[in-house]
Amino acid sequence: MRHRRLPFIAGFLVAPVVLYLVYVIWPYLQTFGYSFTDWNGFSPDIPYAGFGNYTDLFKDEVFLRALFHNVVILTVYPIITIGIALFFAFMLNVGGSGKTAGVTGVRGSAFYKIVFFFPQVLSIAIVAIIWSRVFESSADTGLLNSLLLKLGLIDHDHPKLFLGETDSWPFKGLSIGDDITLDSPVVLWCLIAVAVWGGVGFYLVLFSAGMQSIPRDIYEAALLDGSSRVQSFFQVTLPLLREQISVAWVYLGIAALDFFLLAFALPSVGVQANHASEVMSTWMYYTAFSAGRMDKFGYACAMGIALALFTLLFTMIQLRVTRSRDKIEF
Amino acid sequence: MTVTPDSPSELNRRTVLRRAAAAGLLAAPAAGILAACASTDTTGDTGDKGATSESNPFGVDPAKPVEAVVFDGGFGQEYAKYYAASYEKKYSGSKVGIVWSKEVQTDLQPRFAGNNPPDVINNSSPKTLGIDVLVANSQVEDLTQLFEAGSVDDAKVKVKDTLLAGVIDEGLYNDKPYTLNAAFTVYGFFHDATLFAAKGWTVPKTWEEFLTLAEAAKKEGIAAFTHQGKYPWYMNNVIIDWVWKVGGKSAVVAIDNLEANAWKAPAVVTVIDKIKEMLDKGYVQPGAAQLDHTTTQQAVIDGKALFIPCGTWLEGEMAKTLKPDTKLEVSAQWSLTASDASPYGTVRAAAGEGWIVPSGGKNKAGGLEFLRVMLSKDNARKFAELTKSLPVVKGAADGLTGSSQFTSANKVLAEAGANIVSTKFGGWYPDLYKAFEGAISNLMSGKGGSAEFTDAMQKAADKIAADPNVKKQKRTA
Repeated sequence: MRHRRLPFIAGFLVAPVVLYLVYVIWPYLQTFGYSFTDWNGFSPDIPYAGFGNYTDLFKDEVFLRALFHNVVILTVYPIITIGIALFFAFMLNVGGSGKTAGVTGVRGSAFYKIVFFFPQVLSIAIVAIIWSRVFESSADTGLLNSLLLKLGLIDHDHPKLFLGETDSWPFKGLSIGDDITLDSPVVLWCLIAVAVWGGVGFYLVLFSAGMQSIPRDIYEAALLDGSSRVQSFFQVTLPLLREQISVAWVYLGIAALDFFLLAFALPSVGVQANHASEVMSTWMYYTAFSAGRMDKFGYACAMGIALALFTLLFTMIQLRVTRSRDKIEF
Repeated sequence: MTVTPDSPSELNRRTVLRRAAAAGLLAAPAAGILAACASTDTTGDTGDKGATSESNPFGVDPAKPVEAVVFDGGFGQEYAKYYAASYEKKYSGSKVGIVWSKEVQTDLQPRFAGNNPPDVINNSSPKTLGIDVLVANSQVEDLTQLFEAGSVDDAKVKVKDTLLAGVIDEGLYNDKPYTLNAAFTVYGFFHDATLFAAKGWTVPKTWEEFLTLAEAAKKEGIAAFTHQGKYPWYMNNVIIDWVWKVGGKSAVVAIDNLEANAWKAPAVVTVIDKIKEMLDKGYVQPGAAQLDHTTTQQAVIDGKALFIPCGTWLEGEMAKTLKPDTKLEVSAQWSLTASDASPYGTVRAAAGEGWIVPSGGKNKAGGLEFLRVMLSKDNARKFAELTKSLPVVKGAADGLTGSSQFTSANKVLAEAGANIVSTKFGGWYPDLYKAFEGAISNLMSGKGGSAEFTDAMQKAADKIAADPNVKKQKRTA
């Protein structure tokens, strides 16, 4: 029977591999090819442009600003999400009060797990509607603004704009030359907050699974030795979750470099026109497909390739840094 | 669907909304913006002409049936049936067959390909036939013959002279009229006349009158002005219309033509300064810069704000949440200075709802005559009655009541005369329009005044002007 194995496996693989080649690999290669042209997206002639598009990228103030926004997101989004997810996962699995016997989560942890995971199953359209209500710039109808009004932090006639706030925070925007601005506008922070809200649930489940595979006796031994919850978190949980955290960091890093959906769906037309919430992917989308814009498809392809290179680079560095030297078996 | 000629294609959302809300109350502006393209003159006859006369300029043969394809949409069917009936009445024994279409392009493309088109088409609907392609293939009639013919009501008066200003222009492609646009959308400031009557307020015509009113309203906790902040397109209309008002048509033409320092012109500075003054004095609804269109439009209906810029689809769009006594009325934007170049009453209005006559129809004369009959006063009036939209025939809707928005729009349009605002740059240069949206968003969010605004816009315009990759267009009229 042994000689039948190869055709058997190949028979199963042919269809998916062909699909993968035609619909994934080939478009990648095409994009790479078009990034060296000045193709406008639909005319039959495709003028070759060499590396022109790539050098233009570094003169494009919107692209550079968007790139910086991605860097801001990349710096804060993964660490906040992982931090909160770790904390919640710990509380849900081993953070229960010491009065009960053994190691358990806080009361109602199964329920919380569902609650935290819930944003993950909402479509981006619903997320956008919910959060635009939360951030609405009215002290009468906006959730956050009416809260701030009740707390006496704003007056009724000057609600916070939130998703419309283009001022940079916490540092002033850096100007380089006449055109280039590097900043982190408030609207970007609002988007990061929504992303964290949406992302924590997934990583909580990931870390929970990791924690559940850590043998209870390790915790019990630590407890017997008199370790506090904080100590067992840092001394036991964290080192044993290294793999999961590393994976989470890679996922979140890729999400931070993309960040398309939120930046596309939440900020208003005017804010997007100001590029205050621009990230590389939204700028690429606008350049390639925006109505009436179709004259720079090749340039947009170059942005796509640059984005892909950044992402690959980030992932390689990340995996290298967090590669565990010795594996703990339990 | 085609795109509103004076607005860029990003505005599809609006157009879609208009369609969606088109429950019979609003005009759908839909004349195509058309880029330059090769033209072929196809005014020649196909030899099917009968005897012509003053009352039958195209030589209609009553024995030949007319086939009309009409968009089955928000306007309903009654109005087109009325047209058909009046054609049949004029030519006894004739027959007009109407074919209803939900998507004109989908239904008719095969018929054009088979050289078997109908005699006249209401080229509306979510999918319209591209005029550029039809012209390139010599498949559509130049309607100059229609406009130069005598009108149905008075053969001495040419059809073109019975139409409102700008109607023919809006259907031009390569300087030839291929499309007849049959409905008008009027833009301006909307208010609730019931509230005004209750408070004894009148609509301001000058900046000073506005300030007085705004102060009075502020004392009652009402914002004098609001706008659909999330969508800067509405304020784009307000600003351009005011620039036209203050600086005259030439100021807007200079902007459209990317002329040097067009955005730094005194008219632009004045307009932005006045808007900034409204904001600074607290006359604008708080937070409006980040509120959406329904929220702010509802604020006017609820009496929380006095004026909002919009178009005559507003009543239909808000139909579900109008109060029983709400009376939305449109008025022209008030004057800003005592020396405005264009008089009070200047408004933006655009013709849409296009009709075309295919060149290859079996009864081309019948198709043209159908349009001529349609433009009679009686038919235009019936159109207004049935669809609550403004017809393009002068004076046809005078005295009609039924909708406060309709009556006021009709009045505004009559008062405007030839002072109709139009602008091109948004459709021509998407990047410049995007910069405009950004600048408006900044202005309305309180970030900077006229200096920042004009700097940003001039910079964006200069960048487009200097970009060899952007195809430039010129506007004279």
